[in-house]
Amino acid sequence: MKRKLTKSRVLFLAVAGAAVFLVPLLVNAQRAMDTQTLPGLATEGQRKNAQSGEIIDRNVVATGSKELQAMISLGDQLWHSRDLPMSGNGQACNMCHADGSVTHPETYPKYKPQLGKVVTVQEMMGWCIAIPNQGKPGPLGSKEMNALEAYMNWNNKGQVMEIGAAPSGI
Amino acid sequence: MSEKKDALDRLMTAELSRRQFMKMSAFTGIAASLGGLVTLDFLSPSDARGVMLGGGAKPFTFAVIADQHTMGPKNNYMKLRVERSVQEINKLDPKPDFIMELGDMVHDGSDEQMKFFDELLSPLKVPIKYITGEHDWYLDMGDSYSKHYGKTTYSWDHNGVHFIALMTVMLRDFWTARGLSADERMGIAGTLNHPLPGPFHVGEKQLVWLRDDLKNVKKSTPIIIFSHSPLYYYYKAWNFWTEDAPEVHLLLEGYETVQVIHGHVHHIVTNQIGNIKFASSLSTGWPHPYPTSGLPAGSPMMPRANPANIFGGLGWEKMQVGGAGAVDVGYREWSRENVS
Repeated sequence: MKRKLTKSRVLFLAVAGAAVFLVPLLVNAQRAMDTQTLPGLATEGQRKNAQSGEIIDRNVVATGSKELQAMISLGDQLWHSRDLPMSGNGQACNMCHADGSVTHPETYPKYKPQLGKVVTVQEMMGWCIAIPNQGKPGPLGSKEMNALEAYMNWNNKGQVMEIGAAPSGI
Repeated sequence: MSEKKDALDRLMTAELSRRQFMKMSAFTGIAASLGGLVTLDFLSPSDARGVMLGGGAKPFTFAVIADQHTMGPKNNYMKLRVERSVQEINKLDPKPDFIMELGDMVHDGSDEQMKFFDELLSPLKVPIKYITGEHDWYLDMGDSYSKHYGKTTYSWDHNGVHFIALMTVMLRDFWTARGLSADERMGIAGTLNHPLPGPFHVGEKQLVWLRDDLKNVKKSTPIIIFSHSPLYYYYKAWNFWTEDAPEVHLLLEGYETVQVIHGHVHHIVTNQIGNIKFASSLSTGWPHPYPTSGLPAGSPMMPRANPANIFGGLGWEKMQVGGAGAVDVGYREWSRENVS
């Protein structure tokens, strides 16, 4: 028996064929858009690798390490700077906090009486630059503030996270 | 201990070759480690030892100020703190016999900064003596210091006590070969954790001077020594350290009552090595935290300074010298009640 190629049958086959090919394409396109609109989100493959404890991407790690090292070095320079924007009165971070000492980034966020609220460590750094150093702190998240935080945390490696804790001696 | 006697004999001879000093340095390393052990025996809370020995001093007081680090008019906090110390010392009743300034009066070693500092001290009603810190010295290698404050190595006698002022911040020449400018040299010498300069020294010349100075001092005479850096090994990474301090200790062996008073560390720390007691001075510039290691056993620790208090963790000292020449160190730490 021979089926007739009716118009409706041709249309049905065309629609079904298009659906088989197009739906996965559309889904993939949507996923790609997800990762584009949310920078930093791992792809499914990366998530699987991460869950199994593998390095996500060696290139990303190498680049990250280099970038971080550059920020730590910049932070080191700024930490010792006695000029604006870091300091308006010649006082440098390194004087009271040589090698990032007694900064206790592991205890933040915490309540600081001089700011009257719970602050992140970068907000506290901004207070230190503005008041004791009489300088002009950069906005939160600026390259300078992130570099200072990187230098400080690098010097405080190995400290146990202890949010809110007052360091010993207070 | 015959090796020790030999070393002392060599030190006491008039001719002292560099080679002998090198040999002796090897010995003093051992002496320093032994000193660390002996220290524990002397850490009793009472001061009976000084009283028993009796040096025949007439009791008196003096004041100690240090590490103001003034930077001229651009740093008003530092100016206010120097002014406060001057006002408080002027109010002391009875007046102290003199004031000792332990160095780092200014931060960048310039003539202008020293003029500014001298102006702040001008209301003082008591005579004042000075020694240099590294910040007063390394811009022009002591030219401005000498012009404003005179000598930095000298001794004198007062009320039965022999006082010695030393220059303890000699650094090896790290600038000539690198072609550094005077400002660069000052900046590096003045950064306590800079890797380039290495530790402070008293130096051979001053050791010979000290040896000769002590020739006429009886073993029972109380001695008080002023130095900028701590005259012992405290924390090398921040240059809380005088490399040839053990050689000074050796010269002081046998003296019954010896007190070293030093600046540089900007916090309260005390120590005892053999017969020698050490006490730091507070700063009015800024407080240094305690290092993560090296604090001498038995030293008091002050609380962390509050950065929101411009006087926090800072201050000066009133020293009470007893009849035996023992020194009662009275820390006038501004953020706390008077502490000894």
